[in-house]
Amino acid sequence: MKLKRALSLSCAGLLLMTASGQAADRYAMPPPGYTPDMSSDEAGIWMQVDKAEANIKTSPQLVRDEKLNAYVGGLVCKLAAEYCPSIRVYIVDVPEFNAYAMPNGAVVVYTGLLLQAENEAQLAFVLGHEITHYLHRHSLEHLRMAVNTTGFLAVFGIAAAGAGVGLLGSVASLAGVGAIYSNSRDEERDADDQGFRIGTQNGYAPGQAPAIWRFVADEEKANPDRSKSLFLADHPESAERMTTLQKAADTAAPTRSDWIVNEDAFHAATDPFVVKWVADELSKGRMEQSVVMFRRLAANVPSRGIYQYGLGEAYRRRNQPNDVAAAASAYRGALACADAPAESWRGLGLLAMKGGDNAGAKESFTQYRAKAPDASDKAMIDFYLTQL
Amino acid sequence: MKHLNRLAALALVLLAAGCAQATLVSADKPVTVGNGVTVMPQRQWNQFSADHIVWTADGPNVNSIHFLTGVKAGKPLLHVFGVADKELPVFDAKMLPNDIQDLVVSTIGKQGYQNVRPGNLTPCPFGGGTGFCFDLDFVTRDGLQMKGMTMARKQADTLDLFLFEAPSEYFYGDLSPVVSKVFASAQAK
Repeated sequence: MKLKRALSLSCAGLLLMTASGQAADRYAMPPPGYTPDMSSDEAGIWMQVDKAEANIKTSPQLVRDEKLNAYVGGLVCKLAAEYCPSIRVYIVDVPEFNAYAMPNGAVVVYTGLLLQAENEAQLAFVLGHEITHYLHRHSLEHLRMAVNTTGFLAVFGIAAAGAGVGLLGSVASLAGVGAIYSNSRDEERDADDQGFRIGTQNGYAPGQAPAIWRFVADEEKANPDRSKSLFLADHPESAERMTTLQKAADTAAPTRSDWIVNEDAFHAATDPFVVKWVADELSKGRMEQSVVMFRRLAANVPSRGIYQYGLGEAYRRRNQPNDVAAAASAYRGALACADAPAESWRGLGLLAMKGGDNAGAKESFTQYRAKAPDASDKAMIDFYLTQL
Repeated sequence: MKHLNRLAALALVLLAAGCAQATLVSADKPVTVGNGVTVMPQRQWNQFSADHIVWTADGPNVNSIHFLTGVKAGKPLLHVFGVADKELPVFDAKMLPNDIQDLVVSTIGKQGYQNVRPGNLTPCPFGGGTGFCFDLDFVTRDGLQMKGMTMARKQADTLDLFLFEAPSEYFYGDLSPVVSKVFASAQAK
């Protein structure tokens, strides 16, 4: 089975060569299990990157849950086929839509990406993109060029100073030093192209590739002033990627009828963490984007009340005209779901109290206290109840 | 520099430019921290004044008390270096303590901190009246675990809010007892 997948991937590579005419020549892939010759400049770069990877392993922000790591790691293995042993996956607790590949085969996935994705297929296309960065050695070439032009210490020494605790410091520093592993826009297009091929070769529904970029484009539209994420900063505009990938998806979709999405498997792996990830997203204070994201998740995954709750919270915290009604509607939507967070009642209570609906506030706060007797704000809620 | 939060970085930039100076706060004299609110320092502090008063014992990137007093409706709690005011969440006179807690969380998120978690929201005395208190846990960009302690009161369309923040390892625990006394000493007009 593994051999079959490997052959399949090789065929995909051959197709890519034929189609692009130069991609394989341009991006020489290392053999599976590759490590650089100790006398090469690449070995020095790997040594530095290995130190960074070692620090990720001990970071408090590393997500160590065995099941989640087994799921994401297993997906990467499936996509990377014979390159599986060369790639290590690290899930880090950072609420941003981001992932990146390091030259030595370490792939870092942020929890914000796992919150944003709706199914396994979407995650697979992003991971295929990152696997391509490693296989085509994109960031390695950038590092090599930087070292050749400015010197080793200038690259790694200055990067270390600029990151406070250093390039080789914490996971979050690595997030800040993501530019070290940056890629050109042509390389991003290459990663999109090959990542799409890896995903579809593994049977993932091609329409899910442009879908995840459409989500990002929609969020960007919600607030064009925002700083782009590290993942997006060196990527072609998400709208352009969406268009390119949509064309590829439209071409690929009719070629088979058994495309997979694996929504249930994805949610089985991620559900235990979604409540935390929703809170992390809300704590970023970017409610325009949060509203767009939770509105989409609530619409596309209506059975999960946690997204409706997130939407209600985002509206309430954004606090713009008409947000009160929208927040109340979202909280009620959450409460209609089996997984409704008790905090949905609290949200309704706060809206009602501010709106002068004392009876409604009392009812909602009473429900909240009953369903969350140990809530950390119970003293405050009890105080509200004495005021109503 | 990434160790520093943006506010601390701004304070240092202003200091270097001669725009802000640290002054010594004595332990035994009450200090007016804005909007007619007075506190007893309990110990010596270094005071910076930018858009609000900041006290620190060991440096603004290590521990700090922010006195965010007289915040008017429609205004952010503070200015965040590198972030336009229009992108900051603002205080609303209708806000309840839970909403203000969320406002603080969002503001801290805008400063670049991650995984901000409030807890233990409870009514507490503030300057002879009723205010509210809550705790915070969050993580810097560099992965440093931080803790915070907040006390606030809302009066009509004005908010007074004290925020203490420090790394959870050693520094928070070292100073939180004396900071609690500073907060409890608040006297308001």
